[in-house]
Amino acid sequence: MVCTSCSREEFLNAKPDASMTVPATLAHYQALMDSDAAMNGAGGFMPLYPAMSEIGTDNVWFPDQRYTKNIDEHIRSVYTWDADPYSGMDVKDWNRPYLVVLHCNLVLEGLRAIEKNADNREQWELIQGMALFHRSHAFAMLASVFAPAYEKEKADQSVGIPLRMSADVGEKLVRSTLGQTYGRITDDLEQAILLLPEEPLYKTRPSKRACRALLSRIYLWMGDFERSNAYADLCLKANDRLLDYNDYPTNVNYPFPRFNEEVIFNCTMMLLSTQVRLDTNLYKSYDQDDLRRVLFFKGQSPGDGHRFYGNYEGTGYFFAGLANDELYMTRAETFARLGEEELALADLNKLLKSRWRMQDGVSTYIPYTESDPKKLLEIILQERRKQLVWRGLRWPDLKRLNLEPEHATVLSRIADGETFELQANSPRYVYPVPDPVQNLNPNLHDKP
Amino acid sequence: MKNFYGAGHAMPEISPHVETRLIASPIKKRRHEWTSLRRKRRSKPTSAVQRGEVGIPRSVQMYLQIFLFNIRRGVSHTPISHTHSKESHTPSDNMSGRKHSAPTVLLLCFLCLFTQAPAQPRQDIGAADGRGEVRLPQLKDTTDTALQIEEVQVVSTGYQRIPKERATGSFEYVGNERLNKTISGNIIDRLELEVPGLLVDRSTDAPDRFLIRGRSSIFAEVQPLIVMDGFPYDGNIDNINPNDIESVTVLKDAAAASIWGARAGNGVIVMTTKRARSPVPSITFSSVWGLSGKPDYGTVSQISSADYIELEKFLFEKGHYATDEQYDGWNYGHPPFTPVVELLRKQRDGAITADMADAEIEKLKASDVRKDILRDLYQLGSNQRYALSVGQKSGKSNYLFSSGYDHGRSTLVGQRDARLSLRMNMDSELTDWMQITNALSYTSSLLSAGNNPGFRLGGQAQFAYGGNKTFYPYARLRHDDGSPALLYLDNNEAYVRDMQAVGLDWSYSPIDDMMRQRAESRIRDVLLNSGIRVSPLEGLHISLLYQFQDQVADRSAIYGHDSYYARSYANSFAQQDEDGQFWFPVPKSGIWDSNDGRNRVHQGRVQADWNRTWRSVHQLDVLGGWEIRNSVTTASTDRRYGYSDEFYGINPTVDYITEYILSNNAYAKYRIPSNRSISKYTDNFLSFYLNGSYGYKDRYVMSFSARKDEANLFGMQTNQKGTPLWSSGLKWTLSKEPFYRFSWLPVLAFRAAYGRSGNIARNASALAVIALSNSAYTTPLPSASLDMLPNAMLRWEKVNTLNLALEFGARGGRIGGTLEYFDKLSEDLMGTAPLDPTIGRTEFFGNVAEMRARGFDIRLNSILVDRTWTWTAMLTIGASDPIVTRYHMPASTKGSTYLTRIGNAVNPVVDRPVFGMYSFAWVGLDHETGSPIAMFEGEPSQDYNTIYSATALEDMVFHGSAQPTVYGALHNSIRYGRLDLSLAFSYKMGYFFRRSTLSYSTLFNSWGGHGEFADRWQEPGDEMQTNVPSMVYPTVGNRESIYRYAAVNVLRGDHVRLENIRVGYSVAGRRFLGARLKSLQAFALIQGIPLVWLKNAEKVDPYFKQRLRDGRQVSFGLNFTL
Repeated sequence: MVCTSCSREEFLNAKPDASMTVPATLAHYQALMDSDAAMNGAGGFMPLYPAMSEIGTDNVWFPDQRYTKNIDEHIRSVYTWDADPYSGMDVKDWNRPYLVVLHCNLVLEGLRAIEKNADNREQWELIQGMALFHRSHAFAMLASVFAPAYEKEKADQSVGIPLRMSADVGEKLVRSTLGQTYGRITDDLEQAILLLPEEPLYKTRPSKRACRALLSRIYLWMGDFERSNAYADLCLKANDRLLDYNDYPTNVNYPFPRFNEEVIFNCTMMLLSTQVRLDTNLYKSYDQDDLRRVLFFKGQSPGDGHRFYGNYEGTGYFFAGLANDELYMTRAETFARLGEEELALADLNKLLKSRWRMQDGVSTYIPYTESDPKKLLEIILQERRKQLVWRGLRWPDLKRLNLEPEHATVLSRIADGETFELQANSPRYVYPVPDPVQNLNPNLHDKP
Repeated sequence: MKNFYGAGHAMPEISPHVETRLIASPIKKRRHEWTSLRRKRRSKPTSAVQRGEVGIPRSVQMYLQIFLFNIRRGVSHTPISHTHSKESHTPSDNMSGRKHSAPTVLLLCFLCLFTQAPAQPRQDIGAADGRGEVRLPQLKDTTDTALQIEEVQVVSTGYQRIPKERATGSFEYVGNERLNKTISGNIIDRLELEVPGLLVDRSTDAPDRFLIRGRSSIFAEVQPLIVMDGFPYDGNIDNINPNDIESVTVLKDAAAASIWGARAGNGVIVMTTKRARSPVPSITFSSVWGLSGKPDYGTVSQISSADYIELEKFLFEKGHYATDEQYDGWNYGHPPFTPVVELLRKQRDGAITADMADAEIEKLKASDVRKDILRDLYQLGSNQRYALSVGQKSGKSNYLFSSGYDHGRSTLVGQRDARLSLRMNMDSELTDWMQITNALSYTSSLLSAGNNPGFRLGGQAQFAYGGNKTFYPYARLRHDDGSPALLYLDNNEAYVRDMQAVGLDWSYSPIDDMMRQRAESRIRDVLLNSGIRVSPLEGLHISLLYQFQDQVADRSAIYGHDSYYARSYANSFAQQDEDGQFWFPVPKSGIWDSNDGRNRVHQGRVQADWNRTWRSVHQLDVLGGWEIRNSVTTASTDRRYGYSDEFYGINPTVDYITEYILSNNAYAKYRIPSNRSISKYTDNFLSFYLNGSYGYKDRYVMSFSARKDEANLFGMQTNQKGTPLWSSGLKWTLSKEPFYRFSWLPVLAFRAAYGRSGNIARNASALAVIALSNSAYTTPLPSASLDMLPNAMLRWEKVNTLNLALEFGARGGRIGGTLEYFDKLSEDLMGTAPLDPTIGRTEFFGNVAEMRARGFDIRLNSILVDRTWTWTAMLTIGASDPIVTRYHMPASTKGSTYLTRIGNAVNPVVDRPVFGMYSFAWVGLDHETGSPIAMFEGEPSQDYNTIYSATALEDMVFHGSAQPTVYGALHNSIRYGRLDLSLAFSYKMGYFFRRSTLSYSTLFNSWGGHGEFADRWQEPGDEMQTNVPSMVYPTVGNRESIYRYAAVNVLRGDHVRLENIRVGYSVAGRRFLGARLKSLQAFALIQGIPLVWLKNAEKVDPYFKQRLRDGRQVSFGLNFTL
């Protein structure tokens, strides 16, 4: 009569809405991984990288009138390092990376039900590699704001982040140790290297280079300079291209295009706030001939500071992915720390030369020649901050550098006449678990 | 004792047998008897037979049908007698008291069967006086049967027909006569005043159009299930021609509805189509012709022209229009200016003198756009409805062919509707044990409208920045010489003039444009219903039923090349080449939008019924069945640019990729929208059901039903668990007990039922669900978004209903009725609940809420006067105030969240109605400034932003429900001879609405203005008389919101209104122009009478909140049967 030829099961499994699909095939999982809106924060609906990795740093400044009037209370609280920065609100910085984790876990679980064979091997492994990379990337973002700096000897006592490893809504979640957190991230990334291609089809997809670049970043955070250096080196050996900033127009809002040559993997950061301005001292530290001064920043009305425009996303959404400039800075720093000053200087100068103004076909850049290792490291760290401004990297850098007394910083700011300070190694460098999370899962408290 | 199986026509499965017996008598003789009866009637004018034009009260024929039916089935205690003895219920005994002999009665009955008697039977067939004697009492009371106790006898669940007396659940039967009391083309309108507990909410912003016993759900479907001839009807309800419907049964509680299982939680409306009943060919014709007056502006408050002009002068002084002028200069849109502002600009620029400007402005003060709108955009509406049916029931088969044609001309110029319906019902008895039924129907309806927004007139250009203004109070639609005037609502006059010169025509005249675009909506519906029923054994019937429905809805809008819409579209996208010539990426020839939908439903059923009676006291009815249903809905939208009638086949190439800078806004860059979409939805159901009832001596009835549904909605895991839905009920007819002695109350029965039915939510899944799209945002790779989290715990929503009822009837039908109490607990309601964000989402949609509704339905019938004239009344009361009792999502603590409602978006709060009315506590106006003052945290405050954003939910004023909680109708019917007069009142109580108020920002920027402007605070002391805040320029954020959402602007919605007045005249059995008429009825009906009692002191009618009141409608109808 209606459907006599088909089985009862088929009848009851018919799609209620044709635009809806219960994922089951490699193509479905591939599509989930290629959803740049979810996985890379593209399109501006759901930017990805935690804004808190920038807003508490010494890179940002809210002019008083903006601080007092125009910004939300929780941004104010984060900006002034309040002990309870959320006032009960939902914290996207936590929620958003966990959405990526959910996608990855769905895909990883789904893959288990699909047999890997000679025909689908390449795609199967690509999808698995993508899921492992994206999950590690999300865990790393979370660890950079919700976990303390990594210290090898304390890694098993410090709290890490909850490592959600399945798509099950009922999964029991607890906080892992910091050692487990970083162990999971590095293990998965090292596995993903084996699965992913050398170069991606699009830069929203991860690749072997992206895994290595991320590992280089993670090992730097972990203080494992040899590995960090080795991975940065591997990446740059394959592709060491840098943009020549002279090629980019200074009269447009967003001078750098998306997926440009320096970019390895694309990802966006949450909008901090349209009210936020660059720290004035940092702005002053850019040389007059430094093109970043004009390409990165646009002045507002007098006294209203400068806004950041020089992101590699090409839109108002800040780039927070992986790029060669970061690898140059990482390799320079690790070379310096490992006693290879010459190599460090070479990396530093090569990068900066591409950022300086060309005058009549001659670069105005005067290369650094610092030979004192300590001073050189200071210079590299300062230049790292200037090149990687507004990438979400300042907060984890501050955290790890505070562990070295000579690089420790006391942050202070004056807002609305009040002075706030953040001591080096203050527990406030670790943002608390958001209140809605603690309310719904008491296991996810702040104490280890 | 009472009356039972009434309306015999509602029992087609038994009537063939009855007919067979009756037809044994030759036709000639019947006619002879009939004429002799008429003579007899004349001779005794007081008898009801004479006065009831239809010949014999339907009750008698019903009684006989049932009597015969029961004889056939071997039932010894027919409804005539609740006591035993076979002798006592012979027709002669029954009739002896009425001076009719038994054969006469038989014949009477017989004859009535082939009149299309419109009058309803009166149920009071017999009354026991305790001596076991039964008689047919007071036949003369059968005049206006619609208002009498228990006029209905056989109710239908869609699966079976149950004699009302054996029904344990809450059934409300609406017979044909009651359906025909009003003339709406929509069946729900016709039920509105007839069913206690049915709420049809006509308020301007009602969240639900119709509900049975209030809401049972928060986010899932709340509309009752509509069933036609045994199968759910999924099409557009407007496509059902009420003339085809014989009767409707509304199933309100679980015992009545739970047989429908997962879709029954909101109640069920079961419709049964007509079948032929007359053994000679019978032709029925009916027509209604009506006129609707123009609407009335009295319900819309509007600022006066003089006030508005003064305001514009003030705004001009303040430099309010400077930005618009600046934007105009930048080509950042070309904001329009009203004539007054244009004059003021000219005066400022020295083009005219102040005196000239003043003189012109004075002239404008005399105009009133409302006059123009009523004159040019509205007209006298009319509607015509015709229905013709031919039917015959002869021997072993019957057929009924019916056709209907409705045509309406709206009061809005250019709008009309039409509906054609054709239906063929055919049943035949192939053998003694096999019957087939067939029905085929086709309906086609059309709604067509031009570009006439009526009093919502406003700018319509799609890309006019600063435009889309509403009309100003002194706007004119025609010049003094009668020629259509141009309105500047999207672009200013100078821009329109300049563009005209270069070939872009932006001119807009509402009158000229009315016919240049046309929106049409056509719905075609084909329904095929076939069944076979075999009876292999005594009492056992097996039936196989199949229905196919195919409904196609085509909606299209054609914007002609000269229409304002198409012109403004092409103009906006017009591009200038190097030579300054314009070219048109959107072709200038016109636009065609289409929006097509199709719904195909296959439904099949196998059912076995078994009835058995033992020793005349035990009666068992059991049925069980299996059902399958497959419904596929597809829809698509498309838009074709460059459409024109001449170039029908040509589809110009349009570039949907390039972003164009608009000609009228250099700052806006758009792609040409393609408006293309497709969608497909599938609903599959497999169900098993079982239903049984056991009756003992007609005094006790027990019923039970169970059903299991499996659907494709939730994914396999839930299907495997499938919760059975069930009900059970009990009825005790106390008045049939041997010890019952109250002869003044011959009918007394109690019912109790409890059960569980379900409700479905389509937007949830047990498995993860993704939505695929062709490309990602930044890459061309296919991508997928995660739409639903897997939820293995997903369940049906369940509605548990307890129903307690009392039925009573006083002797002679003086007063009678039904009182029902219900307690409805809805469990596992779908809702949004918070989720640990670490899971990946902050909330999920699942079974998280509970609701409870307690209330009652009452129907009282009464015969107030019963002499040569009769006055009968029926009162219905429905009360239901559903409360959310549990909800997992924490309620937002911000009070402002609860102020606005978009569509039926719900913010549930525990212990409150689903739709609650909240407001800010109002203090008054400031004595010095006239600014509003509201309470904030116990203190009067004027910090508007804080009040608006920080008032906690518990500090808000909670008024009550936004949906009526007590509602019903009162019918009065007076009959004298062949004339009858009826008045129907409706009332809705216990709810609140927010009246519309003045908004200064709308007034300044969109030009629409509320008449409250005249009442605004202007000087100290005014605060004693008014609540309308003073005008401040520029407007202050949230100052208006505080006033708008203040407690003073929440009004009680309670009202009583006179719905209609009807005057009728009916005759039967007359010769007319040589033809013999079986019956003839003529009536006049008046609706839309502005006679309303309103509880609120402001006298705002919630039906017409800042909306034109519908004009009065007068209709004349004529029905006759040959």
